This record gives sequence, structure tokens and C-alpha cells, in this order.
Amino acid sequence: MSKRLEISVSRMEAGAPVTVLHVKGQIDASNVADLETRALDLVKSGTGNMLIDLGGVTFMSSAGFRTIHRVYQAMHPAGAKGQHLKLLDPSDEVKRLVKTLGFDKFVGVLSGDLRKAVETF
Amino acid sequence: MEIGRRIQAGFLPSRLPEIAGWDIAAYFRAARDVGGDFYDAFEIDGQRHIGLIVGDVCDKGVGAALFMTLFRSLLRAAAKSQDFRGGAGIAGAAGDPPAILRNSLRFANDYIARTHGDTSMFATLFFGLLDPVSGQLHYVNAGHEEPLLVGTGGVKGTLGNTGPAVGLFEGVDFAVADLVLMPGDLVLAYTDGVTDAVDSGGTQFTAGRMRDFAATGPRGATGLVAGLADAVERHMDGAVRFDDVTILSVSRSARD
Repeated sequence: MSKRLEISVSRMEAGAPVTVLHVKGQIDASNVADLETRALDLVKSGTGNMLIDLGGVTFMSSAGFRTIHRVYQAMHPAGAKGQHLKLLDPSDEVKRLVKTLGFDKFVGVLSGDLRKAVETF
Repeated sequence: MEIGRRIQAGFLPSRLPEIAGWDIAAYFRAARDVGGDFYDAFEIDGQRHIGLIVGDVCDKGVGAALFMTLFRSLLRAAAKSQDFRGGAGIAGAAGDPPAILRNSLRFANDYIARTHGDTSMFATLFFGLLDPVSGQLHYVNAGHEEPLLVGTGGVKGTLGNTGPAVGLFEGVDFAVADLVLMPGDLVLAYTDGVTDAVDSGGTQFTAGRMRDFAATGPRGATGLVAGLADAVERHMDGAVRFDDVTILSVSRSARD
């Protein structure tokens, strides 16, 4: 079983307010609830732009993709527009899966500087 | 877990189609915690077309097993709907493989996304429709591991991605690709339970080893599936089965 995920939240603004979740660890079925609860709570309290920083994530199983889908769904109730969910610095393997599974059509994938990533919202 | 295992086993085909000039073979072994793998092979409109599916539903346990039955049934029912009561079929015109594939995928995808979207369950799958007379194989690869195309001289290529995973986003489309299987050609479809199978020391079987086996192993679907399954089982000997192992292959006889 994997360890708990380390998650910290920060709020940044460069035009639009963006909530950033910095995640560290290996995401799998045993600990993905940590990320899901945190992200869904933020959506409930009105977060419209979310950037999940996966720079510290070395592995993500399909459980992680389900959570990203859940968060996306929560941010996009029927007819809702203008909310954005993006991923920052996923590993090459996660980047490949994002594309293969078709998540790239709904979730933005960015790499590099955090400030520049926030400016894309 | 025993319940999940029985559900899963009950939705695998009890027999594989037998077609002159072709060999179809499959192997399946459930994980310790039951995964959501499945395979299927069925005839459409007599033997005009043969449907071949390998799928992997995300997650583990009874939930994955239940969704496996749903994906399998929706795809099979849509693709074979023209065979029921002489109807026009919900998947499109009879005899039009691209339409059958595209519409079956859309049907299953939109149903799951709309009805069970809150669960975020999804499946990756390969769905091929073979015309046994011409050897033409139309297929959709929905976010799945790329099946191998193997000829008498070795691996000739892979059947790459043509669309997203199934069940996540309503309204997405699935492209259809095609190729012709020449005498002696074989397609090997599988789930990541094969390549990710670990031995007691944590070493994976790997895609490279599977590819080497396909290139140099026994010719023909029955021989290759049995040989590959044996190699994977030997590799895993005594180790925990983290994922289902599923293999499906179809080959055209060398003499035609």
C-alpha cells in the first residue's frame, strides 16, 4: 500500500483567480481519496479554475484518472461554462495516458513555470 | 471476491467462433482482487463478420466486474442488434463494419457516461470486426494497449489508438481504422495484465518480452496464446496476481 499523499493548496492570480493543488507521492486506489476530497471541497466552495500540480507525482494509476474525471464533472454541471481544470508537469507516462485515454480534450496539460501556467487561465 | 470472479467468468464467451481458414484463441485469468478485464468473440449476420473485443474496465473488485458485464453487454447487443428479430439494428446498416463499430462504441459510451457518469467508471478496449472472406479487419482502439500485427517474418506493426477510453465523456467520437490480414498474419490483443505481470522479485514481464515472444513464438493464434499464457504464468509463479491477464488472438492460415 502506498503512503498518504502530500497535498498543499495555494491561490494565485494572473488575470483570473486560480486554485493550485500541489501533490506529492504515488497516486493509487489506496490514497486517491485524499486528493479527491480536497479537490471536491474546493469545487463546492466555489473554485472555478483549478491547476493540479503533478510535478511531485511519480506514478498515477487509473484511480487517479477517475478522480480527475470526477473533479472535472463537479466543475462542469450541466450547461456550466468558464471553469477550467488543468494539469501541470505530469510525468511522461501520465502525459501519454492523458492523451491515450482522451483526457486531453477536456483537461489542459501544461509544463514548466507555475506562474506562466497560472497565466493561461 | 468470489462473487466478482463468478460474475466476470459468466460474461466471457463459452465458445469461440470456428471459421474455415481462421484460428481464434483466448486466455483469461482473474487477479487476486478481481479486475475488470474481458474478451469477446461473436458472429454477426451468420459468419459475414466476426466481432473481436478485448477490454479493461478501470478499478478492481465487484464494482469493476459489474461494469465489465455492462460494457460487454452493451457492445455485443449493439453490434449484434441486426441479428435480433430481423430488425434494422441499432448499430447501423447490416454489412457496414465501420458503421457497426462507430455506432456500437457511441452507444456504449453515451449510455455509460449519461447513466453512470457520477461513478467515473471507464474502459479501454480494442474492438475489431473481421470479414473472414476478404481478410479485412476494421477496428476501433479506444485508449487501449496497442495490439500487435504479426506476419510470418515477425512483428509488422501495431493497431494504434483511434479514440478515447469509453464511458467518460458523452458525445465523443471513435474513428475506425482498417487493415487486411494476409495468409499467415496474426493479430495479438491483450490487456496490461500481461505486460505488467510481476514475479516475486517485482520484475515486470514487459511489452518488449511479449513482442519478442510474438515474433519468435509459435505460429497461429492457438499456439501463440497458449505459449504466451504459459510464459506469463511461469513469470508470475508464486507471486501475487495484481491484475487480470487477458489475451485474444486471431490468425489467418498460411495456406489459402
